[in-house]
Amino acid sequence: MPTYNAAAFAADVLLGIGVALVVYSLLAASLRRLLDAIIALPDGTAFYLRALALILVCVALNKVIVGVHMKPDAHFMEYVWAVAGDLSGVFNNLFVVLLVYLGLITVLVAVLKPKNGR
Amino acid sequence: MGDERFLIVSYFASGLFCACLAAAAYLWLRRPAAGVFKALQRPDWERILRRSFPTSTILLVLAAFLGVSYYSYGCEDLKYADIVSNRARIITIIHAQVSASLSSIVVAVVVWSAAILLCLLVVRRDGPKIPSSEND
Repeated sequence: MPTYNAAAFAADVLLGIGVALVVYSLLAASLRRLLDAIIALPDGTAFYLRALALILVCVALNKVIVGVHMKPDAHFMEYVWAVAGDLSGVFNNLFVVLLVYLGLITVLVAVLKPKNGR
Repeated sequence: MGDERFLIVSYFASGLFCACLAAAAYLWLRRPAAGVFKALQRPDWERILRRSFPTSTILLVLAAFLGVSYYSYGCEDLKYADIVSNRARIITIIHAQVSASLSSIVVAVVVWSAAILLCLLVVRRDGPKIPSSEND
């Protein structure tokens, strides 16, 4: 039923964005302190924090934007499985992108040693 | 709306939407990136980077959008009439175009993050100029 497809799509988007924002909020404060200490240039810190937010949201939307296309006679649990499948893709992509981003931050920390030596 | 008109309008609307996504990503990162470029204190390089940033981001996103073909997406042997008449498939392809554009934004941001890292390295290396009369 198209209405159920739309509801499943909305749930997909909300859950995907929600998970991305939770991941961002878990990392943001510590990352800001680390980058402030390492970069010593506020615009640099702002760039990397904004880049992280953008990457997480794009990755979350990338998987869920394709929508849920169930047949009209599909049961409730089939919609749940469709949303679960999309969320699985979101989690996988978030994992990969976090790995890449944290690799980049590790390189950044390695090459730009903190000025105060901490 | 006729089938062919729907195809034309949806294709160009999707392209415009993807370009807007790229522009939004650029605008989100523009101010901090410009601050880092400015810290390089090399006007020509700063100008090159400042202009390359939106250009490369938008080009990459458009490349991803244009790369999703109506013929190659699942069924290579479709005829034009089949494509035009199947609205559900057209909508699926629009979703694929937006999805590819979002992926390319992620790629562009990661690449530019690496470029910003190099810029920060140069800023750190050049640093504030210290009078060197004692050492030289």
